[in-house]
Amino acid sequence: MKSQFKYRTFIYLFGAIASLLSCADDTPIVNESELITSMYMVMETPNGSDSVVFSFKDLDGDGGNPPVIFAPKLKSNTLYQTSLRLLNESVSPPIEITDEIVSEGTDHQFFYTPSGQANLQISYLDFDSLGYPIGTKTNILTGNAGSGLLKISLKHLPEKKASGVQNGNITNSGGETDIELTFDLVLE
Amino acid sequence: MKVVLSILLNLSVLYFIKAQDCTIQLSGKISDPHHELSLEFASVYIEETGQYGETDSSGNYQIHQICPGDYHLTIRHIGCETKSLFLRLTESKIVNIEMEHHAYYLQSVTVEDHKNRNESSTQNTLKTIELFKDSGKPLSSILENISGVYSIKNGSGISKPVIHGLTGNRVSILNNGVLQAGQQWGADHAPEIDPLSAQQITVIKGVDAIPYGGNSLGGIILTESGPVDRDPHIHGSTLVHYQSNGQLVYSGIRMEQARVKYDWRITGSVKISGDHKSPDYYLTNTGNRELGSSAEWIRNIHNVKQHKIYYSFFYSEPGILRGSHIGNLTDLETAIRAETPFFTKDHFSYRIESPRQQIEHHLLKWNYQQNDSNKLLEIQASSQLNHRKEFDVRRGSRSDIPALDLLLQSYSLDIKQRYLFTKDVLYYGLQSKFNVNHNQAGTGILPLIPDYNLFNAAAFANWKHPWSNTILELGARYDLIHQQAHPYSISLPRTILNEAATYHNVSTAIGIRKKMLETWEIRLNIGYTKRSPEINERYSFGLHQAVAGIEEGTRSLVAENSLKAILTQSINVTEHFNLEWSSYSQYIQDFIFLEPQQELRLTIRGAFPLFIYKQTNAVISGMDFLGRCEFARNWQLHVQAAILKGVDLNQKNSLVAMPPNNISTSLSYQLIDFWKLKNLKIVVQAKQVFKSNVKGNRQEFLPAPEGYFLLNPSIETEFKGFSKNFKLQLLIENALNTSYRDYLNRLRYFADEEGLSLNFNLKMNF
Repeated sequence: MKSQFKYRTFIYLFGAIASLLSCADDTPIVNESELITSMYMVMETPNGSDSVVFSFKDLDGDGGNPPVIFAPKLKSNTLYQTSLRLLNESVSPPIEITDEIVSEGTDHQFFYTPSGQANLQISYLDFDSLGYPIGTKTNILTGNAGSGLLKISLKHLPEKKASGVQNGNITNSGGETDIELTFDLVLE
Repeated sequence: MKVVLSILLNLSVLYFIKAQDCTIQLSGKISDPHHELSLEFASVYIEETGQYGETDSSGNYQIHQICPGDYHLTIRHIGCETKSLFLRLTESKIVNIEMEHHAYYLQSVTVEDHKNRNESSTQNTLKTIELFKDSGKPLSSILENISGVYSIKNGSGISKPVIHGLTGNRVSILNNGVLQAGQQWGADHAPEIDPLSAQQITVIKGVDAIPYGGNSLGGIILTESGPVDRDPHIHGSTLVHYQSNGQLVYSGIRMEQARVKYDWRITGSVKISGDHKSPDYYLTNTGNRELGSSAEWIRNIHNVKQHKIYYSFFYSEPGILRGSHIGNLTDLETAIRAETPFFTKDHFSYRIESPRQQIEHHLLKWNYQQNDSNKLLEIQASSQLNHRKEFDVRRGSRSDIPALDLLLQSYSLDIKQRYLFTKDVLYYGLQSKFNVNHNQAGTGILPLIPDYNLFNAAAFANWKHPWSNTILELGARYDLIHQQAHPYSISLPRTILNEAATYHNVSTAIGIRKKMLETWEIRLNIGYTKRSPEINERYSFGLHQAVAGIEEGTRSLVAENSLKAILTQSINVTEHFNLEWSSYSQYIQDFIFLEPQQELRLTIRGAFPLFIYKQTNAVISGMDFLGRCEFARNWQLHVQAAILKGVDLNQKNSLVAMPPNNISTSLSYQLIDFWKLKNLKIVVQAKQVFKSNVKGNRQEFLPAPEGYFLLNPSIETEFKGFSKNFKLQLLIENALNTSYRDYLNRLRYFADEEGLSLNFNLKMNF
C-alpha cells in the first residue's frame, strides 16, 4: 500500500496541472443522435382481414447483446399495404428516425429483396422531390405458398438513376448501407 | 534591412583589410565520419573572394593568401550534400570537415548529442542530412528510404512507419527530443510532424530504446532540428515543390541565425493538393491541406549552460478516398468487385469532403543543459496538445459534425545526467509523463476509445565501456504505468465506468560494437522489452467502419514480453565498395493482435465480422541489406533490400499486416562540374515489391495483391544565380504508369495506387 502512495502523490502533482485544462470526469453521456436500434414493418390487408408486424430490435447497438427479431407468417397471394418505421429506442422517449429519412428522400432508398421459395412483388408508394422512390410505404403482393428470406436494405446516397434501381433492384444502387437485415419469410 | 547592413559592413571590413597582410592559410582534412575515409576531389570555395582549394588523395586541402575577415565557405564533394560554413579568420587555421558521403547510411548513424560538437578553432564537425529529394512528402514516405522501414497507409496522404514489421503503439517517435503524443493506435493516424522542421531524422531499429521509452518494440524515430550554424548572419533556405499527380504545391522556408546572446531558427511550410490519380481514374477526395511551423530559441551561457525553447505546430486535413467509405460487409464485397471505386468523378478537384480528418498538434518544450567538465545535466519539460477530428459521410447533414473528436494533452518532465569517467560513460535519468485523452462532446456517436488518464514514471541507466576496438553498452529501464479509463458500460442504460490498472515494465539491453578488422565492424544488440497493453487494446468497442469490422478490446490483456537480437555487419571492401547487413529475430510472448472470430455479429446494418484483441506468441525475423558501389569515378550503384517473415506460433500461420519483401536499386551518374552546373546527378531508381506471402488467413477479405515494379528516374543539380545557391531536381515517379496495389495500403480493397507523377523541386539557399 505504501508504494502505491508514493506514485499517487506524483499523479496528483501532475493531475493538478492537467485538471486545470481537462475535464475527463464530467463528460456527459453521448446522445447518439443517428443511432437506429429498431425497425418495425406493419403489413395490413386493405380490408383489415390480416395485420402483422415484423420487428428487429437491437437496443445496445453494434456488438453487445444479439438483436431480437420477430417475423410473423404472411398469407399467400395477398396484397399487403406496408409501412416501415425506424426508431432509436435506446433512449426514452424513443426518437423517430423515419421522418429524417423521408425528409432527405433524395439521399435514401429502401430495397426489399425476397429469396428462396417465397416470392413478393413490391411497388413503391412514396417518392422524393425528384420523383424517385423512397420505400417507407409500399404495396407488397405475396406469391404462392412457400418459405424463404426477405432482406430489407436502406441505402444512403444510392444511384437512383442506375438501371433497375427505381424498380427496387438493389444490384446497381451503389451508395452505403445504413440498414441491412433479413427476416424469415413464410407464405401460407 | 539588417542583412543588407551587415553585408555592407562586411564589405567595408573587407575593403579595409585588403591593405593588411593577406598571408592567412586555411587548411584541413575532409573526411567521411562513418569510415574515417578521406575524401579526394572535394572542393572548398570561399564565397566572398572566389578563392578555391581541392583535396588531394589523402583528403587534405589548402588555400593560401587569405586576408583576415569573415567568410562563408562552400564545400562540395561528388555524392555529398553541399555544406556551408562560416569562419572568422584572423590567423592561419586548420579546419577539418566531415561530410556525409552518402545519406543512405542513415541506418548506421549512432545517435550523438549535438552538444558534443567541438567549436574550437581547429575543428568543425558538419552533420546535416538534407531531405530535399522528398520535400512535400509525409514523414513516413521519407523513412522508406531506409531498408527495413515500410509504410502502412490509408491512401497516399495518410501513412505511418512500420519498422521491422511493427507499427502504431510499438514505434515511438521523438519529435525534437519529446515523445510524440498522438493517437498512435490507429492504422489511419499519421504522425503529426512536419518533416521540414527536422534537419536530421534517425531511425533506431529494435532494441536500443532504454533512454526513450518502454513501448518501442519495433523501433524509434528521432527527428532533430540540429544545431544552428555558427554564422552571425541570417541564413536559410526556401523551397518550392510541385507534383503533377494531385497538383500538389508545397512551399517551405527555414531561417536561422547565431547571434551573440542567442541563436534562433524558424521554419514554416504550406502544402495543398487535390485529387490524386491512378493510371485509370481519379482518386476522388484524396486531396490534402497541411501547415507546419516551428520556432526555436537557444541561449548559450559561457558554453556551459544552455536554455532551449522550442515550439512547433502542425495542421493537416487529409481527404480519404470517397469510394472507401462503406456501410457494411455487403458494401465492402461490392466495392472489392467494382472496376472503378464508387463515387469516382471524371475530373480533378481540390475539394475535400467527408470522409476526411482534421488534425492539429502543438508542442512546446523547454530544455536546459549544464555542461561541466565530466558531467552533463539535462532537464526538459514539455507539453503537447493533439486534437484529432474525423468526419464520416453521415445522415441528416451531420457530415460536418466529427464522428470522432479526441483531444489529447500530454505533459512530461525529464531529468537526465551523463557522467564521463576516464573512458566510461554513465547515462541515467528520471522521466515522467501525464496524458489526458478526452472525447469531445457533440459527436453523437459512442466513442471508439474511452476518455482516460495515463501516468508514466520511469527510471533508466545506461553504461558504456570502450576497449581498444570494442564498445560495450549495458542498459536497463523501469516504467510504471497507471491507466485510469472511463469506458461506457455495455449494458443499458449507458453509464460511465471508472477503471484503473497499473503496470510495471522492465526493459534491458546489451550491445557490443567491435571492429574485427580495419574494414569490418560488427554490432550485436540484444534487448528485452516489456510493453503493457494500451487503452485501445483494452477498451476499443464498436464498429471500425474503415475495415467493416466490430472491434472489441480485452481488459484482461497482460503485457507483451519481447526479446530481440540484431546483428549488423559493415564491411568496407574498398573505399568504393561498402556492404552492410542486419539480421534480426524477435520473439514476442503474448503478442497483442486483433483476432478474427468465427461468429459474425448481427446488427441492424447487417452481419459484421468480429475482431477481438487477443494474445499469442509470435516470432518476427528478417534481414536488411544495403550495398553501395562506386564502380567508376562518376558511377554509383546503390542496392537496398529487406526481407521479413512473421509467424504466429500458436495458430501456426503467418502474421498479417507484415511488410512484403522488397528491393530497391539506384544507378547514378554524377558530375561535379558541368557547364555552369555543379553536382549534376542523374539517377534511375528501380523498386520491386514482392507479393506478400501471407495466405489462408481469415482476417484478410482479399488475398494479398501481386508484387509490383516501379521506375523513378530523376535529375538534380546545383547552380548559382543572383549570387545565391540553387538546387533543382526533376523526378518522375512511377514513370511506367504502372497500375498496382500495395499490401499495406488499406485502400487496396478499393482503388489502385497513384500513377505517373512529374515532380519538380527548387531550393534556394541564402
